[in-house]
Amino acid sequence: MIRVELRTLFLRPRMWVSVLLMCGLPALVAVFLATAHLSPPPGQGAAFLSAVTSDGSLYPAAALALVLPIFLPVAVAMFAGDAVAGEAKNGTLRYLLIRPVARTRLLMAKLLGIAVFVIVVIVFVVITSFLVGGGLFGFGQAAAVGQPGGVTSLSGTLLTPVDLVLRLLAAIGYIVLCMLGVGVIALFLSTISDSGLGAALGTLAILITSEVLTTLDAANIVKPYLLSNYWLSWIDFFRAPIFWGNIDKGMLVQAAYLVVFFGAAWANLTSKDITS
Amino acid sequence: MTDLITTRSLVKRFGATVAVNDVDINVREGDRYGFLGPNGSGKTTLVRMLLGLVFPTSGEIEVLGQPVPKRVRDVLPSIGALVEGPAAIPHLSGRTNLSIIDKAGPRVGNSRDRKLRIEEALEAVGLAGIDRRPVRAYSLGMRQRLGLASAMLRKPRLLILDEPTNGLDPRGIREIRELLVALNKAGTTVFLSSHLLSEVDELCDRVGIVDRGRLVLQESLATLHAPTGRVVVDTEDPATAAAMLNGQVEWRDGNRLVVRASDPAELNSRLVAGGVRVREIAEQRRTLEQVVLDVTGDGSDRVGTPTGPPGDQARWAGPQVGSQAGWAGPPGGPADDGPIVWALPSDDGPANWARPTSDPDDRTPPHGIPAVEDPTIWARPASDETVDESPTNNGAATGKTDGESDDGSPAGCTAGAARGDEASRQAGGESA
Repeated sequence: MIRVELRTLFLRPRMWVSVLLMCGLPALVAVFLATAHLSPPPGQGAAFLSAVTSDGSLYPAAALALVLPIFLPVAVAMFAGDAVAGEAKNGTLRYLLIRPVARTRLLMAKLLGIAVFVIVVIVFVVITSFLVGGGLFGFGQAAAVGQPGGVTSLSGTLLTPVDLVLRLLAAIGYIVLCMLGVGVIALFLSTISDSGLGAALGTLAILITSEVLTTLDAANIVKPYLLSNYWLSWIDFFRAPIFWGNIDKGMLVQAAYLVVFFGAAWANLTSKDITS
Repeated sequence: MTDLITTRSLVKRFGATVAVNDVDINVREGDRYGFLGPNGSGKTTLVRMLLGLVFPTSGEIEVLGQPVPKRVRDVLPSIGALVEGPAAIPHLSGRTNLSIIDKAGPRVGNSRDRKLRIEEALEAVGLAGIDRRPVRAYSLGMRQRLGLASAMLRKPRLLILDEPTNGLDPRGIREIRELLVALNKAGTTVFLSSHLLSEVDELCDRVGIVDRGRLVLQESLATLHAPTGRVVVDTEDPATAAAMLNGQVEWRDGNRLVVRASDPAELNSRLVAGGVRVREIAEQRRTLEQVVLDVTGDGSDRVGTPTGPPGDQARWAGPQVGSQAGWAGPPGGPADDGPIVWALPSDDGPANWARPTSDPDDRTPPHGIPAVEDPTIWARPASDETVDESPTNNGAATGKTDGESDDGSPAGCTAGAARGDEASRQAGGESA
């Protein structure tokens, strides 16, 4: 079932449209930055944007910062919301179950599909934004001299390319985990609703609530438990040394969301009458 | 013969609705079992329960000797099924869809077998030459064939098919029927759920009839089609014949006589010897439609029909006929509009839709169901237009038919029908 899920995933036009859109936004921003030469002053605007005009190899990080707060979660919610509800609406759910595919296994395959979807999207965003950033802003001074260049970390120290790649991978891993938090909520709603759109919208409602409360000082009590509170902590991977405090907490929160909502999805799907 | 499907006191409730109510069916190995009932009578719910998609509220299911839903995953690999229409991923080709569904479950054979299997199945359902078009572009009939191919992909021991000929043209229906018969001869048991009488009549050898969630009859088709103990005679000299067979003639309409007699050959020689010119003579047999009309009530997709107390025969039987015509009657036939008129809510009393006429000669022939208490059923095919004009004494007619019911009623269920609708329900349950 898992192999089948991945196969159908890559055969879906929707997946590639998402990838295209996701890569389009950073590219668009890059073009504006390059033509206007008006980068936001340091400390304002999305993270890294002030730095990228001087060094294009930081642009992937800037691109991730651009898509992470809204664009990527929306795509994940749409995708994951459709995971079970789409099969149900299509009628293929009943045929998978009588094939037979165990309901638990189906759910695991769907979760894995969501993870792969997020990874593919992010990898494409990183690659295209690296190329776009490099093309438009150059690869920094060191690269210009023809040597493996160093990149300045957020703390001001120099990062070697190997170090940069490792940190980027870690950041990607962290972002995937964050997005799985969204995905698993959508997956749960997807087992309840017969409409993928309904599940996606429900997830977005939760997400927006979370993002609103994150910025609200009065809600400080619940903040540490909010879904999106630690999402931007992946930036801490680009500090020297890496600031683990928020990253650790963020991973714990996402893991908790994963366990709770996957458990709920499992409990619902395995006890549900499939009447679609 | 072993039982492949057995259910015991199976009940399924969705909230306040009872979809399947105390159903006991058994399907034996080698059967071509037809599961027949009006729309909304719980057929699909039962099929879904057999496959472990829907969990029963109470009761037991055994499929291929294993309890369902507990061990359903052990038996599903030997079952091919089509549930409520085919389904496929729309943007992929039929072949890719088959390969995906095949790979999704437990592995059977290597990838070479797999390809071969898919080609064989496509060929069997008449899709051998299918190209790479996505399923989205398929016609309804092609999708149906694809669904069947998917069901028979792994050469299952048991085929559970819900409305398999939906969307097929007459030639397609015939092809699929021949395919199913061939598969059955090769040892596959076929469980077919349908609301189409003709489909079940032509394919199946046993039927279970379900109505409003209850199994009202389970019987072999041969038994249901058994002679009724009457002979229908079409003659040039009806008067002579009637005079000759005085006492045996039960009904007469122009040149046609329905005669109580067991042997048409013997009757024929008597008539001919008496100088009666016989144009046609045949044993009367019940059709499946008549059986179904007898044992079922309203389809549940009909809303607003009065369901009177069981004792009130007139209130019961009136609406029953009209609504059944909606699904069981021949499309476009007189039954489609006529009886509905008098089947509508009867607040102004039974007279409105009582038996159309009391004149025996005007009545349509008894369909070999001597025991039916309510003559309106007989009246349906012939004289709809007379319905509103001649409301009449129901009691007299009932008396007459009661008399008829005394002489032997052939099939097990007819005896039940004699006691009216409610009684037949029980009788059906007993015979099941």
